Amino acid sequence: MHKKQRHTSIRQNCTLGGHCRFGIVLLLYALILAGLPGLTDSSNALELDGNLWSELYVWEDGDLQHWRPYQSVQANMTAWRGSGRQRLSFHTHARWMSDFGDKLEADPQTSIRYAYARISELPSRTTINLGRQFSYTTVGSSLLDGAEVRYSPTKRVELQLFGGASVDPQNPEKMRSLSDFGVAGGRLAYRHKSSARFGLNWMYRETDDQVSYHRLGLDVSATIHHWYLYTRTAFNAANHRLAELLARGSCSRGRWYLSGELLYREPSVASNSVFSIIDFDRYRQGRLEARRKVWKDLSLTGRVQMTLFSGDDSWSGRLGVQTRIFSLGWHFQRGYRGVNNGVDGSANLQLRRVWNIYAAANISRYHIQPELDDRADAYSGRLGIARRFGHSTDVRAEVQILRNAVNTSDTRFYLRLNKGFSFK
Amino acid sequence: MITRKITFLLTAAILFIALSYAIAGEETATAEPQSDVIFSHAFHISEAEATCDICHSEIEGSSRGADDNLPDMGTCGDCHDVDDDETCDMCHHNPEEPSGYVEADKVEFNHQLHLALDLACLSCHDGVDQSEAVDDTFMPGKPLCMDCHDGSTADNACNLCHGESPTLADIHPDGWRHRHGERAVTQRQWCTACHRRETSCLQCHRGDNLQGNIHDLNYRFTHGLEASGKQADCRQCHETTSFCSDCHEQKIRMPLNHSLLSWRRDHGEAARRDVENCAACHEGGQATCGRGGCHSDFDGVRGSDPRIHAADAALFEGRGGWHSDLGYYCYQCHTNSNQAGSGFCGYCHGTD
Repeated sequence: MHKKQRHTSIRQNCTLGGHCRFGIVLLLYALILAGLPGLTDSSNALELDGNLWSELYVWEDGDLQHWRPYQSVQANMTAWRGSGRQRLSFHTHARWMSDFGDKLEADPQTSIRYAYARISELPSRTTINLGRQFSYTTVGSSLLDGAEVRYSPTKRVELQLFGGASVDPQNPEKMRSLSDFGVAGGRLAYRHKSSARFGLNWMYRETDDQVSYHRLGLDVSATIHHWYLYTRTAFNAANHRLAELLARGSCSRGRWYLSGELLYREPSVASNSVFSIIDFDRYRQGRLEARRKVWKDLSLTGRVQMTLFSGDDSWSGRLGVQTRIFSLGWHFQRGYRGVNNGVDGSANLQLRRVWNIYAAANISRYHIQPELDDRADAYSGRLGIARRFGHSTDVRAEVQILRNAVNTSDTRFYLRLNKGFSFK
Repeated sequence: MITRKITFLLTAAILFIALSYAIAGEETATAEPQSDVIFSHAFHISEAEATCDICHSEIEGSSRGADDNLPDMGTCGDCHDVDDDETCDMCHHNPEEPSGYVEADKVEFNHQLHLALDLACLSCHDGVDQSEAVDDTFMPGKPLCMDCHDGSTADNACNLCHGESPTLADIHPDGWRHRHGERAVTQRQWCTACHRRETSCLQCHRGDNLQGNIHDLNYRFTHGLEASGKQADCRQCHETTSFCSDCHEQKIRMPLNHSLLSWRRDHGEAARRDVENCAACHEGGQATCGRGGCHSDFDGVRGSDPRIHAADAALFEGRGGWHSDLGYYCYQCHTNSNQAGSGFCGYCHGTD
């Protein structure tokens, strides 16, 4: 059977099976949101905390007016505590979205960003996560449906292993086949006293039953007086070549903060893509950043960054001033692929402890494609007001204005209610 | 082979440098005093049997983080002769130009409230009774605070310590924007001290960017510059193939150079210079280079159309996926005869 046909059938099976497996996730989710409050009367004290966000975003796109509501929840629930630090907890983050003015592809759109159960200290020194979760190492990361185990035999050593099926960003409501979209990774970390840390990392991913990503890496970080140094390297095991080399240092002392980094990396292309066999150039990048406190909380800031391309390098940077209340800066970018100069700023003014007025603006004159003759201007701004009620509730309303060559007149409104909750 | 050697050498060099710094850092950690003041808590507590409140006399009534609760020379003068210019070196590292303490960053803290809860000084300043020098080593760090301020035992709102309406920059240390990603991996406690329940990036990076907090509102118009110039690595957060094509295909935003007559000639060089740029849209699994027969293995003879890659033997090492997988990406351009001795198979298995 041709690969394409095979994949079609796999995807169909996957969709059917995916719905079944997704039912498990939904069940877990329902357990957290709906079922568990019923258990609060049980002898085992239940703890539930998190946040609820209700948002409304309104804007016009041509003749179409969008009224897009979002409802998000992030919740953590401790269902059981054993002796010591033994614990069973559930964690989730989900979002529902619709559009009163336009029909979305799937309406409403519901996505569960993560939903997993965590078993802590059972067995001892071990943490196990089961479900949809985000796992990461220094050589890669993935949102996956699967399991992660962390084990610390001593305070200085930690072993992390994870595996499962990667989540399709286009269709997060479905679970994918483990054999076609398997992902696995791990990290072995060692802490040398409090000053240095070492890590060995591994990440493996399959896409359409082919190895699309396979990296091994090493990272070292050290704190020396006021300096923080970090370096990491990664090896592309699928294509047998060096994938990345990063060295970074920063120093914070007195009124100064200095930071710099050098990065050499290969382009991010999947190993099962024809692009992976092109004899392509590597990117070499550098960044320097400085901040100097000059008076009270008034600071001068500067950043410059460059990327070397064959024949046409790319530069960007920003110079500015900032305090706790406002920041103002001039940003620039030039070289490979275009030019962008402009001014940006933001302000945050607190009134009577619970009210906040905030604003931000960005004016840019840009030239994004060398083939265009003229530069385009872009203006954006937002002005908002926020009111806090206690520690856990806040409301904010905001108006946004965008002007540019594409959207000659675009005014948007944003409204948000955030409610934190905590039950015991 | 050369790549492997370079990789090994670079890795070894990095390890060596980092180890040297780490070891050197430990050896010299106490070489430079943080403060000009010479003071031994250990001596005063164990030998002179002093209690904390003798020197820190205002501490029980202190309710603000900005309060200065460190003893001045007058306090020392209760027991020592501080007016004698000959004995400055008893308390100062630099008696020629004596100075005081180094000012530490302060957060909101109510000593009065905590002491009223019967918390001992050593509960937070653990080990200070054994210390011989004046430094901030025994000032409690955030993880210690969060042991109690976990949201259930005690409140864990940011403004409790960082004042009303703190910004992210107020709460996080210098350079956190660049460092927090790597720290989340290498030093998870750095994040979990506050983000106690959940360390997922999604807790803050919720994705919709409705307020322009992650990217400025102008970003939608100028993002191409940052993406192409590699000023930002989009793939750290976005699965670019699907993320980019969502808008670019829907709104038909094709790069202008694609419509130039010279593009047919120049695109190879552009791909070599910045293949990531190509992959952002064209890597959706569909045949790209081999489509329309542009880069095709038209005669099944190795090296007769080397317009994408050289006939690099390293590419064909081992028993690759093309042996068993008819959908393997090689077959986007190459002819699969599925028979040793001819076509693509003949590259390695001979022509007879």
